[in-house]
Amino acid sequence: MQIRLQQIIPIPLQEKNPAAGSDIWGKQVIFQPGEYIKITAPSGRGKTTCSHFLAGIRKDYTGSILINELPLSNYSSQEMAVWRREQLGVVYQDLRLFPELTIRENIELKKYLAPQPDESISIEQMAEALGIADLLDSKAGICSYGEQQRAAIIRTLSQPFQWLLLDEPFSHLDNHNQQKAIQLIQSVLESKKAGLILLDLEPDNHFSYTQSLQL
Amino acid sequence: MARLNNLMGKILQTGQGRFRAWMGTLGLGIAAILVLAAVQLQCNFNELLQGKENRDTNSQFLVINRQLNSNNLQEVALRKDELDALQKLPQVAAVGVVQPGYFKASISSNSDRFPFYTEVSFESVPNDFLDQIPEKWDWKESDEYVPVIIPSMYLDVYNFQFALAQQLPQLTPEIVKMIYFTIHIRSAKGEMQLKGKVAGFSDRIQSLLVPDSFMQWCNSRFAVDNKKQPSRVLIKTQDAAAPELTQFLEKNQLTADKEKTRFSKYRQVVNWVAGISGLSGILMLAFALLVLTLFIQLQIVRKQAEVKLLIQLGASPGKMNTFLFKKFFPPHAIMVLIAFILIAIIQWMLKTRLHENAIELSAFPSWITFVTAALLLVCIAVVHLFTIRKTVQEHTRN
Repeated sequence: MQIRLQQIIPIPLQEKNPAAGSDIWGKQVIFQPGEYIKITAPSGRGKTTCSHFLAGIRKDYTGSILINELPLSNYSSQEMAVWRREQLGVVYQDLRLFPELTIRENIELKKYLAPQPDESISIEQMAEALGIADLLDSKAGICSYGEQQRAAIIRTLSQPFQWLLLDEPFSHLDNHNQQKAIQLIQSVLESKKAGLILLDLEPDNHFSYTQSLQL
Repeated sequence: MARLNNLMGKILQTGQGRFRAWMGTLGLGIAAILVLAAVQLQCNFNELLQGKENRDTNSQFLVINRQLNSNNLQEVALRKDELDALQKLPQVAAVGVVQPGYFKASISSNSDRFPFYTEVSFESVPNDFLDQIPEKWDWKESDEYVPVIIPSMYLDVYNFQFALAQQLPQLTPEIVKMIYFTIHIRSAKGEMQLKGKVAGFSDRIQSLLVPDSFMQWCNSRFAVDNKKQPSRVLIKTQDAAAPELTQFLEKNQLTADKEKTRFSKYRQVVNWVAGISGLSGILMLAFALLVLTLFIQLQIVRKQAEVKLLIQLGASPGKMNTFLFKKFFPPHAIMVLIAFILIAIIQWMLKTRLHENAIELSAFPSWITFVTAALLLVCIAVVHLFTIRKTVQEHTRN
């Protein structure tokens, strides 16, 4: 599934001339299926905005985002649901867990949104790998940001996807937990043969990126 | 799917606004009862009026004449415009003129053993308006006798009143039909005598009836002024108790058999009761739906962030709408069902009670009531679907 960003300019940033020095804003960029893309930018350059554009939850931009040459902005609500549920997995910067649900319920919710949930996925194994197995039945609202971040990663990895979009996914994790998360993500990406788009503040070598872009 | 619904239920569950929800649901139930009761009341009344078990054939024919008072004693004739208007009433199937004889008449016995003499007046009506047509009812000048239909009541008065008082023998209808008598007719144009015989009895028309052909012959021969407007007409109606018919008669100072139109008053009361019940039901229904619509909107707005996040995670708006519909609709559908069951129980009790008084009513609610309940359900479902769809769309727009 190819993603093409064509002269995208966020409307709120229009006056700041965002295209200057950017590899993405106002340019044409193509992400081929299975590619690992790293997008780096300091705060305020629109990383979260970019992830929201790709997830289809914001449409305040000029230019177009084409998925297999079809404009994302033209997707019907049903097509958008399929895009978010089966083709694009997103770990949002603000995590977006339901605080009144347990960690397990948050993860299961995403898994069961798919019409045919993948029962081979073991939530326990992934939780074990990220060190939150004993928190599975705790309400998300009472967990620390680090624990919530790991829960959000597992929730996204539990769904079917062809692209994985991560917005500052390790911001609340120490190096040890970060490494565990990277290993888990890498293994799931390989098993699904999926592509990766990682947006972060600094350059890194967490994955074998095929493109490193400046926002 | 069950697990997903369970999780979505947990996310969208809220204890707030429960009281309002219960009040709305209760209001909906009362409204449904009022609407269904109004419909069933009308159905029951129609069944009582038109049902085979309860049909009174007499009530289908009415003799109409002017209501006399001190101001219109000379104006007994019915005007042509009144007859035309009467004919045009939807309740009136046919109008027949009751033709009076414009001559003096009397009848007397031919037998010394059973002597009698009485002044009479004859009338004729079209054959279609007779409750039974005797075997020999056509009359020609050459016929041996004139057939006459008398009211059944006359024979009853004779048998159970006059004969007892005068110590005379009782007579059966068959014996009466065998007695010949003499009809005397006279006017300024002349006089004549004819043989007459009772040919039948009528429960419908309280008058001495002769064949139309005889009446025309007599009037042409003896009447001084034969072109008068009729003063009485007979109407055939499907519903003698129709309030519209009674109102027309009152408005035109006409009158009919009071006993036969008495039902009209009950009918008007029933119409009022059913109307008020139906109107109150519809108003309550509108208010209940408004309250429920606001409640649904409020619930969705309160959980706007959760609904939005569910959609961002990949729940389709269609799935959300279905889930919310399943959450809000069943209690309200059950309320309509309870209202229908209640009406069914009341109907059964009414049937049992009325049966004791020899009034037959169906034990089950009418199909019209059933269809009304189904329509109520459809209406409530549409309002739910529309509200949910609109609110989800409005509050999850990206």
